[in-house]
Amino acid sequence: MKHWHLITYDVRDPKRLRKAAKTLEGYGTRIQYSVFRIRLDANTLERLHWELGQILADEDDLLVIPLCPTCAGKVPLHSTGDQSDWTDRPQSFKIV
Amino acid sequence: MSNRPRSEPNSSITMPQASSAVEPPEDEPLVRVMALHALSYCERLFYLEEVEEIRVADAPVYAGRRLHDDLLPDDEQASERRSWELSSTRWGIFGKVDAARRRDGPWVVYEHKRGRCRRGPNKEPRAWPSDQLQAVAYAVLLEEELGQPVPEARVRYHRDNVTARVAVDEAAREELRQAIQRARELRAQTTRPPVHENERVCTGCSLKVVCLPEEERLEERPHSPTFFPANREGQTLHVVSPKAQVSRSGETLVVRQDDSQRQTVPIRLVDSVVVHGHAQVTTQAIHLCAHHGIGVHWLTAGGRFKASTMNSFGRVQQRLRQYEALSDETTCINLARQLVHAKVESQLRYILRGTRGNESARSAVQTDIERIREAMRKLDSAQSPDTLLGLEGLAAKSYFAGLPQLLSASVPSELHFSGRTKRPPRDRFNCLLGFGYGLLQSAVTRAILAVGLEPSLGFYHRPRSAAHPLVLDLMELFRVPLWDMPLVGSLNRGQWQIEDDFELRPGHVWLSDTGRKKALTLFEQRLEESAKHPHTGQALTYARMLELEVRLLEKEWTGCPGHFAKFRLR
Repeated sequence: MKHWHLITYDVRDPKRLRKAAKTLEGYGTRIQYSVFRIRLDANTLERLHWELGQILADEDDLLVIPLCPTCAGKVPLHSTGDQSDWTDRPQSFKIV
Repeated sequence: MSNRPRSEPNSSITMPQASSAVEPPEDEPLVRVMALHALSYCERLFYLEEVEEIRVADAPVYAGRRLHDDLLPDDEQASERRSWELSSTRWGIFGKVDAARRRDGPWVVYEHKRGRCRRGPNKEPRAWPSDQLQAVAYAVLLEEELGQPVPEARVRYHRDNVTARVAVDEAAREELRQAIQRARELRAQTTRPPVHENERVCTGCSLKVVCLPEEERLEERPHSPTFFPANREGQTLHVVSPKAQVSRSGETLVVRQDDSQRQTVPIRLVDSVVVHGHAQVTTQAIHLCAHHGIGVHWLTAGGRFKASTMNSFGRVQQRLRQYEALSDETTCINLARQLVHAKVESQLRYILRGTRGNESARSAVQTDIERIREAMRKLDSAQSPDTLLGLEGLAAKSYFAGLPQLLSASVPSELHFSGRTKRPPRDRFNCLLGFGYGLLQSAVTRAILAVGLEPSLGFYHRPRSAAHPLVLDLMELFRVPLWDMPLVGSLNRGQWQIEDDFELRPGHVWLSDTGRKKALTLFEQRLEESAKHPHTGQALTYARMLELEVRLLEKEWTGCPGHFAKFRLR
């Protein structure tokens, strides 16, 4: 079962910061400077945790906020800008 | 520490039972201790991971890795060593010891586990048999490395926060010896061991989606839990625009159209990339896809399948079994008969269903129905592929003769058709039909490659250069439910524009850009629809059903026949 997760971080070294950001870009969308929105299941979340664990040092912080569908649906109510994709279930295909 | 074979330990120290180990032949590769753990859990798991090299890391696997990473920081004390790689040619094993510690006495091996321990009669903590085997293996490795006896191993269970003690005695050594012996035997054979008799073992297994134990238990236990995921994981990226370029940026694919539009797609969200027509894909992007096991498929703008990249290392045993099974003519003709029966029956059922309650249409297709029924009757006694081919052709001819009756009166005459024309399609309907079959072909290719079979060796279609015979074989199962049905439905709903969606050229018809996008959407939406598989009783999306049928086909020659081509329309 996949859910939205909000992932934010404080990384105290530019090299690690770039690596962490690059990893997260492979999983989801960057919505603010160090805030990512990622749709994950338990399995992928564990993998992401492990990958980030390889990159981050003890002094860095990582915050993962799991959002239930109801909570995710309320995000657009309190936010500005286009927040339409919080409520939709992402499509299984993309045509460019 | 390296895991190269080490020299003999100092002979002046008395080693308990050092000489009694089963010494493997010189050239035989060592067995991983982790593999022994798998072997003790389930022989089939060992075979899949170690021999066929199919490994699936699931949530517990990653959580276990994190546990070990957290334990890692090494305090350089003489009495403690962590993460120590050891090997022994004497025992024929190698592995990485989590920790070894000495406090006023002999060395003790520690193995860390994330889960819970087993409990004895008085609730005292005990190690699970597979963990015990692993711990004993590390103990004998350490013993040989240090040249000192290691009489005890400990397994730390982090969920319960307890430590179980394991005695490294002669009985434990004998058990280890037998396990190593069994591992060598299994490595030498080409057949997969049967599924574990205890179905609860499968619940916690990371390879349950590959092994599919519930299908093997279908006969004796029809209601055992099902593990095959009902939906696919990722997104299929179709690149249609002819000027598009797919490139790589970090861990994302970047699709540029013209100069202004640019879209980035995180690589983990993609399950395959399908390039229609002449869009460009950079080498870097192909590398990234290959690294993540994502197939890239090239189709012509008209929807004909051209090529795909495949990243399928290993899978040797799987292929050997396939070659062996499909070299046998009896197997081939039996499979072909089942396949053609399934296809013709789905055609018949669709015609019957489409004309139900419509007297005039039913009477118009009555002779076609009779012909299809007759072909089906003769199928079961067909003894050669040529007879099957002939009967399939007869049925197909009658099917396409009857199909126009399924189009409603509101469909404009330009979209009607009379007879099948391919390469090039001469009317709009045939154009749509051909394009959809091309999409189906790439979807089936994806499924076959995901399972790991060799697409070039089929059982019904003759080997020829233009397409993969096994793909063509399996496509027959899905032509009606995955394309004919949604296509006729969309025509009846009036979704197609005669002018905008098609490009008419002298002698043939192509889809326009908008038409192609419409057809893609229609096909992809159909893949997302769920249907109940009448044989396994599970409801799953058509996208998954494709893969399930490939796996059931493989089971035809891996000791569990009788489940392939059982899908029917209701």
